[in-house]
Amino acid sequence: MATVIFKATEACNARCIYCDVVHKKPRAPVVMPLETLEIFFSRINEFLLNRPDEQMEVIWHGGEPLLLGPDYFGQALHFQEKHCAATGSRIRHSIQSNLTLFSRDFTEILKKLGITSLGSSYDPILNLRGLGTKRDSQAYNRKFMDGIRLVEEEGFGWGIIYVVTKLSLAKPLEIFHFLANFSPKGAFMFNPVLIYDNPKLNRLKVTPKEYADFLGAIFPVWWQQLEEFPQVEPFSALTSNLLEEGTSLMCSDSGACARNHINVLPDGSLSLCGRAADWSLLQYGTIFDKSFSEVLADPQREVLMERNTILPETDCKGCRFWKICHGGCPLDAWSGSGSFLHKSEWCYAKRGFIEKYFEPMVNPSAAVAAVTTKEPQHPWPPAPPANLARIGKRRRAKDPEARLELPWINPIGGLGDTLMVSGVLKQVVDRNSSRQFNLVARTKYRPLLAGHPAIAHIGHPPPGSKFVIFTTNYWEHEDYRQPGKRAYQVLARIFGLTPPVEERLYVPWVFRDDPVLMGLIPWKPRNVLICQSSDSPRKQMGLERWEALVQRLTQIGVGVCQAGRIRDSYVRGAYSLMGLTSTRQLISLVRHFDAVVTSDNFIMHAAQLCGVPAVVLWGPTSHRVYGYAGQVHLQAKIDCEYAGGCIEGGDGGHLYQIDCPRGPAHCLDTLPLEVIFNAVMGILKDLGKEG
Amino acid sequence: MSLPRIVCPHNRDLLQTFRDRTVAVRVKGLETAAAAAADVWESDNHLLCVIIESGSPLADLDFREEQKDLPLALMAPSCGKFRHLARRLDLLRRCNLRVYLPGSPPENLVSLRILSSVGIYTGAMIDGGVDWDALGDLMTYAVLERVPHAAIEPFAFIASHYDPSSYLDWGGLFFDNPENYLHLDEEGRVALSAAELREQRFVAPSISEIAAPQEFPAIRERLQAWRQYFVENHPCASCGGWKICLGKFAASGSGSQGCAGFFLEMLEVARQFKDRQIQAEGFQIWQP
Repeated sequence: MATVIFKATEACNARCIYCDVVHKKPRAPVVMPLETLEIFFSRINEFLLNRPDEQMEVIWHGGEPLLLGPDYFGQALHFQEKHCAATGSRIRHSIQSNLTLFSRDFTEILKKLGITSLGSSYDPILNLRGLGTKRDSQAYNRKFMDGIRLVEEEGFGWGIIYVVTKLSLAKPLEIFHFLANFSPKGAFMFNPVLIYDNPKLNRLKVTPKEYADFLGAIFPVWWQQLEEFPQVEPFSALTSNLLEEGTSLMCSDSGACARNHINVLPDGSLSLCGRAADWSLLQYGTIFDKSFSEVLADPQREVLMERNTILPETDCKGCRFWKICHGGCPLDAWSGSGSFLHKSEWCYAKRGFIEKYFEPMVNPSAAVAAVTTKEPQHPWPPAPPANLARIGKRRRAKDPEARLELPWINPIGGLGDTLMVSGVLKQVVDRNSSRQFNLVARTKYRPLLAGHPAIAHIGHPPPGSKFVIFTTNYWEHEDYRQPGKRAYQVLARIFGLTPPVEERLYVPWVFRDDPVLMGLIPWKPRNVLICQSSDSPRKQMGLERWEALVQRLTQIGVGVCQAGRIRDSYVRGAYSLMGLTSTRQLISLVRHFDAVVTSDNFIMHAAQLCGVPAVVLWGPTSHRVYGYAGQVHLQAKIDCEYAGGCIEGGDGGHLYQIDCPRGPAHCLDTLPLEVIFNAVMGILKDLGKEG
Repeated sequence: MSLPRIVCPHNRDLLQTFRDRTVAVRVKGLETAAAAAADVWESDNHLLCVIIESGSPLADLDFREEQKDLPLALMAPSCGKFRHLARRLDLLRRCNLRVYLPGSPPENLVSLRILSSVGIYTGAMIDGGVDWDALGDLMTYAVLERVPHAAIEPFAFIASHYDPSSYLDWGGLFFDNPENYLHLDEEGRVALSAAELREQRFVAPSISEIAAPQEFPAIRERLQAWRQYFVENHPCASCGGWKICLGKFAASGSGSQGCAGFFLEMLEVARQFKDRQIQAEGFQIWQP
């Protein structure tokens, strides 16, 4: 189908920060004169008469096409009926609008033009899209929502394009859920922001890798609940193209824009596409002197055609994704290299996303092969994935029975234990990608384990059914009673690994900083994160001693923040982050501290995961069982009747949540403050030497 | 949109001011339930149920045989002592009764489970202060437990009505959805919810003012109020549980550790419930 991007106006009531159209001086005239509009439809008729098997899609674009008003669309219909009597049935209209100007006055005429759905775009992040020269995004959002409401009431469908900027990167899932919640029946698409020659906007620019990682953070959620979510691009198209041999390609990937794309501006000038017009490239004259057939035969298009034969021998040689990409958008190639005969600078965004996120999720075994084979041996299409049988026409087939037959993991223990379990499971699946588990759904563990490559499903085992279940209560296993026990190694054995294994921790998601949280913290040149709390009061050092430590540190200019839950005791002098962070946010935050001082708790494990030096205060539990090499372990001397630690094994379980009766003689309170302080300073001084 | 049902106090004069409406009539005690029902029938309206706003625990109420056919919605502060209740269980099970208990204190969640297990239909009135983890356990029991038990709302409703491609508002189960229920005071003034009735926030002086609810501005706006969460980019708009919550607990600020976690789990359980139904459809035992 031939496609005309029809810009009857380039004027816009909004000033989206990244829009190339509104930042240029408007080309005269701002609105296409009716005489030109009439010529446009006569050109369409001429084209379709010459090509009886061809159809033409007219995409009303802009600027904001609704600024034209309903009468203008009425005139367009009039000219279509006047000039395209024999060809009108082969004309399809669609529209891309910001919807802030939509009113019921448009309903009748848009429906007469055959438009049943309206394309739009939106961003919940403020100050990117907005009305008027001041870019009033709150007014924009209100009017957009009013527009959507009217569009729905008038019986139109709608879809959204979301432009991924630097500001989006911190919250991919938040944005995804926002869009999915807002359009449960609709569709939406992610596109990276394209900024080329405006240094002021570099703060919004994303790299191909960042864009791939953004998509990668979302894809597991979408994939695991395909039936739940609307059509989301590029995921839906990739699923179709890679798994079902579909051919659903956007213009930038089709390799066919040279054969079928024409851009028309208000003054009647012609070019390849909107971006070509914005950059004054690939211009083909005007509608007054050229027919569409002549435009499609313009010699300037030859270089784009050649691209399809040259790239497979050069930039894209051997690439197994050629047929779903064709080197990407030629305009991107031009902006990156100054030539159309190179692949798009966004190549990694697609390839990286597929190899790093898509394939490991839909077909882990194929993904391993793909990553380890630098020059792919198998031409397109790739071999059907082993689990293709589970994939339906567009949606993954429901196969709850097969899924539920996988062994179940019943997670027990603290979040630190969960990090160890996650690390063990990663090693299990790395060694045998076909080993998968179900996870019994418990609110506490989902944020850490959702999306884990070893976990196929999080839910509830069917009552009464026969299934294998792994419980993570390593402390009740026989191994745990052996001398030299290590919690991690016991867990490894529970999941079938042969100890000793490397004690790697793992989370199945990308660290993301919350900009609000990061902006909230009064960072100092050196910063220490403390965590006084633990599930067991016996693993906690007394509050006064923590406060004395904080005082020492703050006196010498070290910033001290306290992590924990909202109910935990506050250590005076520390900047409290208690209750402000989700599990994921807290782990991501740990990375930014120079040192961690903590009890034997989740933060101790999180510090190890993030590679942040830690001073760990041990009392009734032993660093020999839980501590990690490389951390500073300060083990208190136990001077009570429980020589092996009051909460370790045996009858210790019932003491776990009871305060130590020894008061000031509690083992952890005998750790000399000076020793703790010096241990922290040792880390900070070491960092100073490095830095 | 059909005419919303009316929730009004037991007041004969008030009931005479409208006709052919479906009415849930509010009374303060079980002893006046029968009279209230009779007055609704006499007024040429249809009785949906009698809402008993009891200040006493369920176990302290003196149910009688002649009340067993009355449609009753009993809102009690708690279940009370089970040993008292046990004596009336047989009658309660035969009653056309749904018992509503507040979701907090946590003991009520246990009571709801017990009542369900003995075959009494219940509803958990949830507010932001509920123990979400304990509520999750109750929900799992309500939806997935195979041992026979009576429905606990809103969980049973959500599990059986959840459709990923649309929003699910279950406020109507608790008479809280102006599309389904309008609340009248003694003078016939109209509020959009029970809470607004208590706060005397009225949208019309009488029900006769609302001839076409879909055209009535206050109702129309209320039904679209969810959009404001998106305009403001409220955290609820980005929550995975939005489609079955619609921001009901936004004011509680319990965040991801509370309501969000619960509703995500509720979604997972609803999916599993649906899977189970599909499995059941395909399973047939041999026929003699």
